[in-house]
Amino acid sequence: MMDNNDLDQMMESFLADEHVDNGEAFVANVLTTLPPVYKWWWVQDIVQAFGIFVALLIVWKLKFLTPGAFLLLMSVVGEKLQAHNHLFSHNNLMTFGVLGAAIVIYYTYRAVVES
Amino acid sequence: MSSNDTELVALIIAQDDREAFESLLKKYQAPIRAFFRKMCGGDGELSDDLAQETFLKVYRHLSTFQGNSQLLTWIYSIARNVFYEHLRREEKFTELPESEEMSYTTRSEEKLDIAKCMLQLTPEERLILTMAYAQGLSQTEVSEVLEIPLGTVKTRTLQAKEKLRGLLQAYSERSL
Repeated sequence: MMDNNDLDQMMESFLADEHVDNGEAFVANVLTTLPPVYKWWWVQDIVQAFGIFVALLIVWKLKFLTPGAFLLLMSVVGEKLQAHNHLFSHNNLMTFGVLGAAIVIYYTYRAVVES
Repeated sequence: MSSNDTELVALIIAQDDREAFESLLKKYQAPIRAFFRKMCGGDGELSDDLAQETFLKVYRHLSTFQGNSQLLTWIYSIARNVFYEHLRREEKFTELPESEEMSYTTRSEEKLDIAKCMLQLTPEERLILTMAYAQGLSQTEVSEVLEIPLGTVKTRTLQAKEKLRGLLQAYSERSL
């Protein structure tokens, strides 16, 4: 029968026996996945978001998208890009959000005035 | 937290100092990678992926570290969350990978038995045993990492050990 001491010894031996390498490759790999050091990263973020917004706006204006589909696509693109670690930060989402809200307000306003 | 860690954390938060982060990485990569190896049944590639995800979260959220505990304890709590996220993504995580089975076999039959039985424990039992036996983590620290009371850690450790012992005995009887 195995007693607690036997189990303790087996466990300690099992857990202590996990040899990992010195981690040089691991460390290098982690460092390469960090976001670049960039002082004006928020400007880049907003410009990037604005670029995507304008691209989508053009697609919309070419009648490929309805306003609803445009907003939906904007939110999906924003979310997907943010999921890609550092390609897209919260600033981009904020920019998207503000631009999206502006569109909604504009069209609501126009609908009210025209009615 | 050691004064060295405090300085490194301050440098990373204030100046985004990559060399300071590299020093932290070098210091803590081994225990975290070893922890994931145990939790993932020895799958080196998967455990390194999870360890990498952990350190990226450490980097992103370092400013929220309040210094109330050891830095390593805080990193372990992030590692625990990463592990649970991984389980949610994968849903099933009970089979010992074949390649790893071979890897353990080359070490010893006894270790292979423990590895198989460990994977039959629930993730929380595996987590608590790995933490309890992991180097340098006291039961108080385990309770901080798992965010459960110290008494609960002691009870669950005993329960997990009992279950593991039962599994090992059943396994060795079947093997005879």
